[in-house]
Amino acid sequence: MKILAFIGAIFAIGLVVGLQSLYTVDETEYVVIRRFGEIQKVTTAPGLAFKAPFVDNVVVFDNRLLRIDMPPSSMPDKESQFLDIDAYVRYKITDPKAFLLSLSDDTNAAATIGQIVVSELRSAVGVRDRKDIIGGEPITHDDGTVSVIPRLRDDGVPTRDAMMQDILSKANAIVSSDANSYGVDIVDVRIKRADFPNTTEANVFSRMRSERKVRADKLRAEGEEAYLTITADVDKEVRIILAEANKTANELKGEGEAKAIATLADALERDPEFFAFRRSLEAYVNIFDEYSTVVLSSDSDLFKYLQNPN
Amino acid sequence: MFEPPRRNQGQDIQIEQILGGIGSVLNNIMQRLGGGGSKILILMIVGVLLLLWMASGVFTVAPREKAALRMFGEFQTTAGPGLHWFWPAPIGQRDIIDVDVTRRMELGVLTAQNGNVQDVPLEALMITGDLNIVNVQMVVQYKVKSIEDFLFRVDDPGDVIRGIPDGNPEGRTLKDATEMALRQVVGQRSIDDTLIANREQVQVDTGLVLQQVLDEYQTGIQVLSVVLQQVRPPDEVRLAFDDVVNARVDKESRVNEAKAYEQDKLPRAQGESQQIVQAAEAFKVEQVARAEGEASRFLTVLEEYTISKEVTRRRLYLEAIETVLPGITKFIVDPDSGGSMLQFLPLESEAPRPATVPVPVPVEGLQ
Repeated sequence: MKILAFIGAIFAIGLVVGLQSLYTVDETEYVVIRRFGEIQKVTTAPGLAFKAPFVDNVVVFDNRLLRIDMPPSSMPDKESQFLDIDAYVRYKITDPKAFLLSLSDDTNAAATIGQIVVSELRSAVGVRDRKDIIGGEPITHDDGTVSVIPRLRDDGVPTRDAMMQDILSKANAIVSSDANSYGVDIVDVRIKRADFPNTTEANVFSRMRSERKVRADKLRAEGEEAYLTITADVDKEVRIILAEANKTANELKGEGEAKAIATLADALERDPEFFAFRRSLEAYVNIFDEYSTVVLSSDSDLFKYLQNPN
Repeated sequence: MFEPPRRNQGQDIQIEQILGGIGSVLNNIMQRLGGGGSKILILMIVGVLLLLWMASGVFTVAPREKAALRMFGEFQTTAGPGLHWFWPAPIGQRDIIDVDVTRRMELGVLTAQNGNVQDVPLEALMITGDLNIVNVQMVVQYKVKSIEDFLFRVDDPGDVIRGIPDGNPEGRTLKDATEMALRQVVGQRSIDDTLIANREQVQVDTGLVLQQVLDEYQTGIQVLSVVLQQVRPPDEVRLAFDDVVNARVDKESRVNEAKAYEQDKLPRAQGESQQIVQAAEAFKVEQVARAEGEASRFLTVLEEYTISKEVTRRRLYLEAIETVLPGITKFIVDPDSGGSMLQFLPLESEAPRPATVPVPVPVEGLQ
């Protein structure tokens, strides 16, 4: 039994020493080995690695893309108009040793880098106008409608991208300067939101309302215009149609009358005297009525036989 | 520190329980045997424990799933659906992820598990390129395209509301990038474009920007679709926007009224025109027919008249006089008895004529 216990003890000690001299580096980690506070080595490759047991301790850093969420803050632009800007930063630890010596941990890193970026953001916003920051170039057309194209810098880069690039490179220059050398790389700075502050929001809404009112009034006026144009055109058409009809009608009537005159005259010409006679008789019948008074001569042809049958 | 979701944790606990149970059983046996053959027994125990430990490395990957395998923290390989073995903990680690399932993230709106939909104005309200404010609600559909990137490349605080754990880029990373992409795209457009005209393009562009950023961050996420759910003006200016819609309807209805007017008036005018022309046509035919009739009557009469001129002439004359003279006041005067008619004046007083009686003048033949 004693031998067994001895073997067991040796085995146990070996196990502890073995485990103490081994460490694993995860896929997502960097490991810095420190001996009594002094940095011995940095392991960036994942897997199993060896160290001196007991005296070396393991400090782990994240090698993934890290995130700093910056609190929204109100910033004045070039025209002293405020915008509420909410941005985030993505960075990576590139040199764990430098990181450990300067920033030492994630929390401190977030605070320090966050401060640098906010300051750069603030100065970048301060030299640009709103349209640069939002990124749109509104174009008002002759008919009052507005369309927007991306606002581009002189070299063709969209202004918003250009601003973010500007902030990114300046912030990177600061974190990698000799004085700082934080051992990080800022991968991306982005504005999530750029909103009007509550105080100006009301103004924006009233501007939006008045823009819409102009639009609505214009549409209604256009409707009226269309109505009047179409109906006037119709009225014109109607008058033309009727005038044409009357013209044709008069032409037809004229033709009819002319033909009638010609036809009759043709017939009557055969004996104008007889026509005159007949027509006169007819006229007499029509001319006289019960209120007419005639004075006749007793020696007219009519009374030839009145007093003398022979 | 990052700890990807471990699906096999439950299994581990079971194995420990089993091991504990086996241990107590073995202790029992050892006590009964009383020392003899204890070396063999210890070896046997170690062997059994080793076997059990090895056996716990067996795992299955369901269809649609994928496993990422790490040994001593180092990523080794991925395993597709099926039965597999890999080193169990503490040597190996495995993470199984559903890579085929379409995942979904809402922006600007929050659908609770009980189906209640809630607006999230902070996410939904944004500035357009013409400095208006618009309310956009959007859904992003995505899946995991690279399990390695998805698990190991991006840190993320997760999202409690959506139930996404730490270290999963589906959490804040995806949301940040989506908000950024959408706002960038909307910032380059007018409110009208966003509201009505170009929603498709907003979706496409947002998807492109989003995918680009997600790839840049190595999230391993594939965007499947970006769909704008509801795009509307903010509630504060809703009425003004509605009025524009109404105005457009008003305009259309005004145009329609005008068209109705046109449809009513023109055919009527055409009809009236026909009426006028046809009446004139009728008049013409009438005139000609009457003239012809009269002419023919005259000619016929003339023919007979020519045969016995004197008699017919006299007869016609007398007949006419017969028709005329009855019923009218007549004075027959002998010209030899002075010849002046003054003696009869005033003639009118004999039979006063009512002023209102019209004098019919029938128009026969010629006009």
